[in-house]
Amino acid sequence: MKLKIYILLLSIYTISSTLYAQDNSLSFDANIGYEHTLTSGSNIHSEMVLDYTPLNWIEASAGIKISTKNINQLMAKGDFKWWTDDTRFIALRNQYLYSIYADDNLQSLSFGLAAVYDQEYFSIALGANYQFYTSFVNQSSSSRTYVWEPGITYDAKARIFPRSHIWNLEGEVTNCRDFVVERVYNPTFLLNGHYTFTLDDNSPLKLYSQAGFQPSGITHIAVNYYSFIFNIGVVCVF
Amino acid sequence: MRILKIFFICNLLLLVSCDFDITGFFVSPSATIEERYVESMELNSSNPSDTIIEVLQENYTIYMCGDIHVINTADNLAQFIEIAKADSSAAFSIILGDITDQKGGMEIAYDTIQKHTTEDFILKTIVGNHDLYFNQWEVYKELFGSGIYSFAVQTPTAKDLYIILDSGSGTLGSKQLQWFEELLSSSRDSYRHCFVFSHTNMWAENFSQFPSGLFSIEESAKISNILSQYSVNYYFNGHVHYRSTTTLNDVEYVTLDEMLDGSDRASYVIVNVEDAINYDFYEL
Repeated sequence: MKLKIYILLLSIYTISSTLYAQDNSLSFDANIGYEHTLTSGSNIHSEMVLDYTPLNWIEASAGIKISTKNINQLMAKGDFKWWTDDTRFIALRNQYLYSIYADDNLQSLSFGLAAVYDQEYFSIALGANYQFYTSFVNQSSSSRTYVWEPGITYDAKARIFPRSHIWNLEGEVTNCRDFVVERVYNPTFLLNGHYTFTLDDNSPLKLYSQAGFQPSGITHIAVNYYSFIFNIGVVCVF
Repeated sequence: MRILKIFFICNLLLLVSCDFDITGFFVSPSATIEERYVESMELNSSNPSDTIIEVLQENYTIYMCGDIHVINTADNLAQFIEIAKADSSAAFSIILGDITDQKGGMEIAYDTIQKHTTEDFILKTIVGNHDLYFNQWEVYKELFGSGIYSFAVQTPTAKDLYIILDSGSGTLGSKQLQWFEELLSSSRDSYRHCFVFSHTNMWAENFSQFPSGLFSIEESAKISNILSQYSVNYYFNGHVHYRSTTTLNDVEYVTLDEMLDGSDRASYVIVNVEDAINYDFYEL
């Protein structure tokens, strides 16, 4: 029953996204990055995300990530926003992430719902998700070939200047980014920075960088370094 | 405001509590997993004899328990050893990590083991996250030796492989992962069955695991693929104190209950090994 309600909500969301796609603000975000993990060593990756805001209360994005460690991903995300004043909003967020672990014969689909509160200096998102794992080449003779995991997602950010400031620095603790939906036990700590130019035709162009650290074992108080990430990218608004 | 005060007081109590080494939120409370791998390999090379357990019959049993968290007493551990000792078909027994919580607990557990075992009783151990608190890796390796090793059980006609992994820090680390894969790649074909024992669980199909840490998803993907690729039969672990089982691609993942003193769900597992493998939980 719960699954049916969820599918119904998802359908309403998808249909309404299409219906209201009239007025528009479109942006394209592309980045390239380096990542080191204890599991796969050093890797280079690239992410591309298209973000569409037809009305100020709805925002949808979709993107792709490719990586030299052969973990390739597709994401889709949608926010229904309720602006409480000019600078603050509350949102209901849908997020979907499909990942292929090509070298490890595994694929996963994560889908989640989160409540978001965003204002000038900080934002917080808290939600629940399900991850479905299965192999893409079935090696099993007779046994079960999938695993379901429930999870909790969180994403907290704090900025040193208001959101619209020409440049900003932001600290972030999260297990849920565009291309990462990690288990609740595995947070990533990020430092984000950006600088916004305004081009001749008044289109803003945002350059950004991101450095992050993911420990393992932090929640059972036996912490160990697990991964480091560095991204540099650009957001073009059309 | 009242809730904030209670939250603050609880955190303060946690910070001053003896049960947890809070430094482990920020830095490793013991050597890192890569350092422990190097030390474990050195210990293995200095003790190469303890790698084959010979049993006289075709079928044998394994006794295993987890999360005994010895603080002042180790009564359940003593009882577990006595039960295992009484079974003449037991090849070995094993504690799947979290031997203690606090300084001094590991020595109590060790003394209990010494008091209740004889020379021919084989008890293996695994490093758990709690065994790393207060830099207790130093005590662990002194009393129990290596945290990463393998051994075989040899019956008259077959040989089974047992691999012990250190996942006390929620990751195997790069060196141990490579060792693990190379071991299976080079020797799995020479054995009938293969069992992997570690402390941290691979999957979390319900919230009984909360808030015990797991591997990252990338690492779970990697390890589970290695397990199924090399036809590992079982992955046994402790860590979360509640029993659960998950099967994925012919590998069975089994999480044990806790067995600490005073627990109302203290239990242990007996595995019967012959051509087929069966296991069951037993209340203590």
